[in-house]
Amino acid sequence: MLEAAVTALGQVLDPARLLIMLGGVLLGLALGVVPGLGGIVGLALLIPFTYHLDGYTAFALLLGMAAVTTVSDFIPAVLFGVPGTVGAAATVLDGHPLAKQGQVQRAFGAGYASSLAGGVFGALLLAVAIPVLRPIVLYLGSPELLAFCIFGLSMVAVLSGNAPLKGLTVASLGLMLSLIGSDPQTGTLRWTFGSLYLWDHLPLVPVTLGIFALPELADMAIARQGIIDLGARNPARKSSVWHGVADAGRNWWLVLRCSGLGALLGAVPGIGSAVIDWMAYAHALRTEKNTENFGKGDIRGLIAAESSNNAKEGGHLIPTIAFGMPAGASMALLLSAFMMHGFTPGPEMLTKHLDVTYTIIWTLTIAHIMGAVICLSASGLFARLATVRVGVLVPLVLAIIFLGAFDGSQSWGDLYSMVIFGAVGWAMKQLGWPRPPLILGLVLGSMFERYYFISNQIYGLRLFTRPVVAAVLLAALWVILGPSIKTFLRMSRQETQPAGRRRIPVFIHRFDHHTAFTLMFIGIAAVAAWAATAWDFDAKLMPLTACCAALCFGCLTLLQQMLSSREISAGEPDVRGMVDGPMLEAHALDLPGPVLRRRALRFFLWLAGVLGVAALIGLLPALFVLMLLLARLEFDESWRTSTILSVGMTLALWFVFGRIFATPWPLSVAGDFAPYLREVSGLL
Amino acid sequence: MQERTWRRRGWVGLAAVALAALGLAPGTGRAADPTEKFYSGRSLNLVIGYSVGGGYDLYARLLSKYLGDHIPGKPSITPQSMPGAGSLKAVNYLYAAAPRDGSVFGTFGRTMPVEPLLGNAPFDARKLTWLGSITSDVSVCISWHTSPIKTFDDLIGKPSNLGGQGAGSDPDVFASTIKNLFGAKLKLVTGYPGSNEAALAMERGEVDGECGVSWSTLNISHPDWIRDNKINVLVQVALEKDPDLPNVPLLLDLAKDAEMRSVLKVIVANQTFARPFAAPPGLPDDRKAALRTAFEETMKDPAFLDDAKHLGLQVRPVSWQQIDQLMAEIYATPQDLLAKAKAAVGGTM
Repeated sequence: MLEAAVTALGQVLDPARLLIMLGGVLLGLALGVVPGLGGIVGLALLIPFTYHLDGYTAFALLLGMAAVTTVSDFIPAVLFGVPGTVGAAATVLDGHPLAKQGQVQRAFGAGYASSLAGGVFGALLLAVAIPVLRPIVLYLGSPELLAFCIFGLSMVAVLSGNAPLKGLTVASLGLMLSLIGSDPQTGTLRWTFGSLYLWDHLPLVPVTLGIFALPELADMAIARQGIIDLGARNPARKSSVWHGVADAGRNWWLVLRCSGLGALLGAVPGIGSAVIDWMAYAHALRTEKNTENFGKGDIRGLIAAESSNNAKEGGHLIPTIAFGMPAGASMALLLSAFMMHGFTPGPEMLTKHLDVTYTIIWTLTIAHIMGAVICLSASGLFARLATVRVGVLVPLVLAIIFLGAFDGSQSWGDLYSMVIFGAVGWAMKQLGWPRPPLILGLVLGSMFERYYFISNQIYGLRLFTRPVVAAVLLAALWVILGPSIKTFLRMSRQETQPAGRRRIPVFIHRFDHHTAFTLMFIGIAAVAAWAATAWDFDAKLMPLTACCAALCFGCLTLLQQMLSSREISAGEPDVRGMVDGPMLEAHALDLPGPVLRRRALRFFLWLAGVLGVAALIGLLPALFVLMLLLARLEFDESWRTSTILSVGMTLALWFVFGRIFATPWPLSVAGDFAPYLREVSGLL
Repeated sequence: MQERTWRRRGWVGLAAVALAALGLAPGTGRAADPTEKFYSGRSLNLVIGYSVGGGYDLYARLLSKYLGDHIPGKPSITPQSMPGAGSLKAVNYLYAAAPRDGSVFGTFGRTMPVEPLLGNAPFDARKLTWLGSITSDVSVCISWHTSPIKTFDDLIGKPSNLGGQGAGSDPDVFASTIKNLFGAKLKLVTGYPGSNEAALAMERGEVDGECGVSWSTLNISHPDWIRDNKINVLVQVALEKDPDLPNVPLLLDLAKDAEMRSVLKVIVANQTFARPFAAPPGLPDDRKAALRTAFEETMKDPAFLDDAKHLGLQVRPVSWQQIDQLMAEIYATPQDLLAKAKAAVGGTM
């Protein structure tokens, strides 16, 4: 084995291969930075070029590229609150506040250090696990996958912070969203409103961008303030990259735990990158001490998310190599590249082609080192982006994420989804509703349904007798009930003391925007449930369960809001910081309510306007108009600046998305009306 | 430089084209004909009904690399992913929305052409401008070597669990067909996200086996299973037997009567056009002919064949004439037989 490892290292260290790997790494970093683009499009782009390379070189290029997208996806997450890939959503939570406090460099340092540690750990785990790879993967059957889903869903309890009822409502809504589309059991089209777009389930990228990225941009636009909060508490405190690296070093045990978690969960097919970072985040939240700053710029939150996000790549490779079963879309592409070069994943990769497997491991390690070093040395450059004026920044980033979302499934639906979820996400942020449970529900819901039916048909109740299932379910139970039990014990101990906090008598609140928002959720759940009653039993079992849960938790939330003992407000101090309280407080202090609401409405009207204009004259021209007018009219940039930025960005987007990635632009009215224009420009 | 090229494009282009025409086809003496003029310097869009990375995508991207060389004017070809609704979105686009000038063509799932008959899609696949199919395929039912199900008779007579990949997928359609038409005791356990997951479930003994497995894909993804006799091939599903599998019964031959055979034929015909390519309906005749000829020539292009071999992709071309004829036959199936076929596949396809 050692011999194979050394031979493989020799193969990888070939200078030509290293150079090609470096090229792959650079491309991967660039793709990771642009929201919506990621390893998958990169692989599609590169694979044709590897037809005539030898196998090892091809892997160096492809793996080098795919591995580091999760290193650089962190840059936009920290700077703009826009996750570069779906795996970086949890990074936004603490990374972006750090940037706002002027600690961009520190966040970068900690992020890259934990990325590197995570990536290397993932590769290491893969190397160590080689002899036991196949038995492990063979042992993980449908019941185990079902148990993992339930465990993932139990994290909702942690990620809801101090608003458990709201968290559960949101998670139930996420489950409902995940069930949209054609049902695997009966083929019933559930909640598709007759549109083909919703047949294959709601794509993750537009929803993630909507829920996490748009609210941050909206807040910047509303506050008329760039990334760095000029009134930041410690403007004098200088942050440096090395400070961040030291942070990661100090929290080495957390890095290790989250890397382990990421790598292990990465090996479980179906649990994609979109939830792994949240699970690591929840783990940190639950196990670390003094977590009151999580969500407000705690470096540990960032470290947890980044290390797990990078470790998962090694984990993903386990089922791919051992069984030819890709644990994600990018692995599926990689698999086709493997086969193209004559390596059939399966037992032979662990015996006859062991050196290939080690080549993969070395490539993964070296690519991560390259990626981290490049990012570290460029971090000064990126950090300067944090000082860009809001009037320049918001239009540019908006244009990018519109195209990023459109790349989700290249249809109008992606754009609508992003804007709708953006508005909902912004409202959730304002009104103190936790957003992560939505993503957990959305990713795990349909998987839960699949494996529930399979496990139930094959094993029935016997599934609970399987040791891994039982252990994982018990762990999930502990995640949910653990804190309550602890609190209960503590409270019963303290009961003898005179009550320090006397509750103000309950009184009934009037109807306001908080209750209206809750009522909207309840209404959606009720209508959805009504629509589902007509389906076959197998098709409606999960949707109705999710609807009922959403209705129950929604009504309880409403009750809590109307009968609470004190006013619930956006700025309510938040024990666990999951509700993004402090950022909202800042707005609440800066801006009077009407101004805030007016500007928010204007912002989302702009977005809706883009959709309208895009339908008329095509997406890219519409984005050009948006950038130009938004910068000029909304942010009072000069015509000259507005023109330069919008023309430059439009050309850049046209080149990247149109020329390199051959995006099929959505069809517009102008194009239907004048086919000649469509043909000439190719944009309409 | 750029500007100069543009200004002189007419002359230089004409000269180049004339030279090329002379060089390639001496004697014809043809200057730029309208077809060539249309395609020259243009980029054609190849719409792919699936996301990147699957079999259809791989075939399409390979074709896009070579097809342009065989079209007059040598246009470049840009593959575009248009995933959605199991490629129904792409078919709808080609059928109703795409420009009908020969600048767009596409590929989609093999079940799509019969979808209007067995499902409820609102188009007529006979009207598409068929270019051909890169290969025909044979789909097989397999079981793992440790399973008690060893033959087709076992599948009929003994209780078994077969893995499925969701209503309407090949494994589900063929398992339901065997269950409903042959009264098999099999149970369809559906919901596996894809063929890899279903294969792993079989390997770990969660299910006995699986139907609707593409024989050509199996040869690429698990050659060791075939070599080391890890699987039993129970039955093959297509209009004709695969040369590799002379001793495995063909489902069509097992039909009890002529009516059942006709019903089965509607269901299995799609294996013939396993990697179909088509342009929108109503193309101008010259461009229609140019695309079809180019497709035919590409299928014989040594460089194309070499690449396909390298990628492990099977090439057994099916011509547009064959597809047109088969379409006409299937679409002429009487309504009552179609209803039976619809019931046999489980209502969805």
